[in-house]
Amino acid sequence: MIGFFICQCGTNISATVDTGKVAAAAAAMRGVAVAESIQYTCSDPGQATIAEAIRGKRLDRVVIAACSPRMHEATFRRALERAGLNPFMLEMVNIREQCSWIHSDASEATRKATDLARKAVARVRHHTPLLARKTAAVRRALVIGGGIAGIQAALDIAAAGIPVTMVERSPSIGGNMARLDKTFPTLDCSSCILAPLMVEVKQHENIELLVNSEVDDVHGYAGNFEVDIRRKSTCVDEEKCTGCMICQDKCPARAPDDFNAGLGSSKAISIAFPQAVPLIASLRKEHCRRFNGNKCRLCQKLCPAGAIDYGQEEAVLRRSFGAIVAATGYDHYDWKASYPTYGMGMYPDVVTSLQYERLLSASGPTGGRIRRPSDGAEPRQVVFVSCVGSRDESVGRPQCCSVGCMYTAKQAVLTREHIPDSQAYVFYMDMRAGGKDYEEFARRAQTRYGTLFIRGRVGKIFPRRGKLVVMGTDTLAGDQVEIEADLVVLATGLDASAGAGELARKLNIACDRNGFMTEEHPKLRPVEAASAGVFLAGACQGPKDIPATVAHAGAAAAKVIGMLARGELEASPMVAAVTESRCAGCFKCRGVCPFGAVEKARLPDGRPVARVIGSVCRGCGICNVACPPGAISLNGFTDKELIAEIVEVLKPDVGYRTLDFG
Amino acid sequence: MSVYSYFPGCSLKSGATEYDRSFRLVADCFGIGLDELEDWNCCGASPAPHHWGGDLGILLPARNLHIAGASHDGIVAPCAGCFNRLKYAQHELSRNDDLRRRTGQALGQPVHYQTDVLNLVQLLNREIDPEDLARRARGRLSGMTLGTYYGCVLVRPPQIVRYDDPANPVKMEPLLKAAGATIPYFPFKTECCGSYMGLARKEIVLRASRRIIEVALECGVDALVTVCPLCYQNLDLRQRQINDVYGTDYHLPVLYLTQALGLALGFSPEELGIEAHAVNRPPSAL
Repeated sequence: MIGFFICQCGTNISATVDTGKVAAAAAAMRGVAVAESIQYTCSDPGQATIAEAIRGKRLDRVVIAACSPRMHEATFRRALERAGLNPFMLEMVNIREQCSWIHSDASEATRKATDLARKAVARVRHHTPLLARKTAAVRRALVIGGGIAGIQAALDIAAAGIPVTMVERSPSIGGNMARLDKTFPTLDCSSCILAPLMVEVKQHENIELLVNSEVDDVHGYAGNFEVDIRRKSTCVDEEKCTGCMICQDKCPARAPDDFNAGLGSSKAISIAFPQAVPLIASLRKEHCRRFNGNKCRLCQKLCPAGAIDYGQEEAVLRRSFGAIVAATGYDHYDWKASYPTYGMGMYPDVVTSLQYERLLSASGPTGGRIRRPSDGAEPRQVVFVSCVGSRDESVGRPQCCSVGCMYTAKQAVLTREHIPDSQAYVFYMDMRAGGKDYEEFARRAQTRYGTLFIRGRVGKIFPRRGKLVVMGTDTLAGDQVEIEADLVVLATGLDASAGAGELARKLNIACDRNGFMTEEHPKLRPVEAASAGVFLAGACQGPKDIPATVAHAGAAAAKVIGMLARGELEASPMVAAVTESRCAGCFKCRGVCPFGAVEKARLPDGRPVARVIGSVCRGCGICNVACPPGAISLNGFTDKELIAEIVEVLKPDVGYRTLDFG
Repeated sequence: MSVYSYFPGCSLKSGATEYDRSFRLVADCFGIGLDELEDWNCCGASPAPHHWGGDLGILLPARNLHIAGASHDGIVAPCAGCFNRLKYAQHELSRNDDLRRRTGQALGQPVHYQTDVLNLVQLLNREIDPEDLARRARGRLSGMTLGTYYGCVLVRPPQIVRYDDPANPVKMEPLLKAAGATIPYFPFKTECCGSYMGLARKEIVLRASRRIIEVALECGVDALVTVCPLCYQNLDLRQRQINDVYGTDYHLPVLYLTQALGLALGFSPEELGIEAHAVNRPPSAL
């Protein structure tokens, strides 16, 4: 016995579709025991009408013609369940987005709605009750990346009593935030607000911190991931090293200073920065004399803790996790090749914004005094160039970095604070200051700190008489501008961090055209990746400032906690299922499955068959099509159901063709 | 031996005869055959076709392409402006059926426009082996620092000329380096020289060309090297005007690429027409 309910959605549907007429037509369809038009079906009284009909008319299946199932399918399934029906005995017809909203001719729209209703009724006859499966989940989360996003996610998850393993590939956690001097719009010190959180990660009883480590391989599925973590050899015993820095002081081999974005230099054995967590040294073999044909073993001789072990080998740990959070952050765009007219890096006094942060920072290579790299002089005229590698289609990068306007305004303010008689200029495209208190801050950069904002792009930077001439346009004045600068700061755009694409492949999740990991829904599922059990935190999903990153990471943590809190996962039953008697064991399905949801199993008689891991399957249906003997079908989308639908809609007496499986 | 249809254009027959002469000398050295296009006409770069409107800006270069046909290994246009117009016509003809039809009507037969169009740098890079050049260079350029000045229309619009990096062209460098010169990075290598504004708004040209010379000297160059007769005019012939207006004292030689290579190959400044330049004080090492 089928119940048919059509929603007027106020006038959203009823203005174009004669819902009474559709209901009357449905009432005459085979098996329909009740057909009603309801003003707002999703409302309390609307749902009550349905429940009443289910009980009163002993309905065993229901068709609802209303909005998109994306909107309210879950609502109506719950309504069925409360009325005592299996929630999957529901079929929805989208007559709003796909009918009333897009048509203006009422009689045609009514006819189309009737057609759609007819096919839904044909389909619902073949529905069978489905039961959600439950699987046990490992109560431990993996957080990949130790920047502010990973730190926030790990602390939140650990606070809920769920153990966390944090994997960080560099020698210290802290990420890019640890390199920033001050933060907009409050100008609080980045290190001061970050360092306590870094220490908390290290000390938290529920967090296992693995630095110098990378995710090697990921197997398994939501609730039961098996992850291989590669621990790189640093020639330093982490248990023994006390962070005394004697090795770093005495090491004779210079090495690039990654933490200071290439400004200044470091040593082959070093501690990344003074606030590093963990505070342990690590040795970079490519720069070490001992590993380059020399006999030097100075660090080993001098280490008071005996922590240096040149023979240390890398190791691979295997751990089980219920959920994974990717928090791999961002890198600054390498501008040199795309902007030859800015000097391709041949002018030492053209620096990136991240390098400028290090020049501002008290822990930086100049001890927090702004000095230009070429001759160590204090600059008077500092020119900031926005949107280098952002919003620039000529270099194939149309995207906005979303933080450049604000960090540039902040750096201009700090320039004046450090050097009171300096003048900062900012070439900008548009000021994008959309966050809380951002516009006020950007305004203060002009009014209180005297920054001159010039709207336009910079065409060229070239040397003249010991200065750098920055040549650009002022599009508001309609004029060309030349400014003689002592120092030029390029606000470089943001990329997903190096290796993010490779990690995404291991996690079976997608990246967008800019290389950032893709969330499942841009609005409603912003932290879920397309693979179940994998979540995104922070700038790995797209450029974000610190507040947005912290909020995003907290949301990812909440999802992990929600998922692992009960110790078991409820999987949608609308997944593929194998009719084992028909399975030929060819495993074509396994080859085409984008989610790794098909495993090999063996029947008691030894015959190999495919088996679908219900908690991993996303119900995409590809295996369905690939299976030669038709042994796999998708629950809720069986061949029977689909064929019934098609046959109904192609019946000659339907009048005209509406092929719509929405 | 490769033979090319040679399109000299108006400049190489009038104001830039030394370009024509030095080009022929260098081509001869490397066995590059040049067959001057018969009955060629204006390339369409002069302002008249632009202001005339209609198809004239396409028809003029199209006729030159048509005459060149498939007779040789391609058509070479040493003047950057001519090169640009030929490429532009080719680009438009290849994507606009209607224009192609109208052009055919004007010519009285279907237009042949697909011949390979080369600029001077392209031709020399194709035909001269740098090692061979280095062997033959007699050291006249060694110790000299040359600024490569490409100007605008040789490399822009990039989607039409499809030649070298529009912001940082470098194709002259292998030849000049092989000839013994040092080539520093010259940030104004594509900066506007003022173009034909010299006729109507001379001050624009003086300002633009002055900056190019100023930055070139800042880069420590002994001479600028170009392949465009108009750039040459603005940079060399107007240097005295620049000095008059700005109170500067510039004497920066401006050479055509073929003159620079000719020097390296042992030709005298007189043979190459360098003495006819406004700044004819030879670079110190000449």
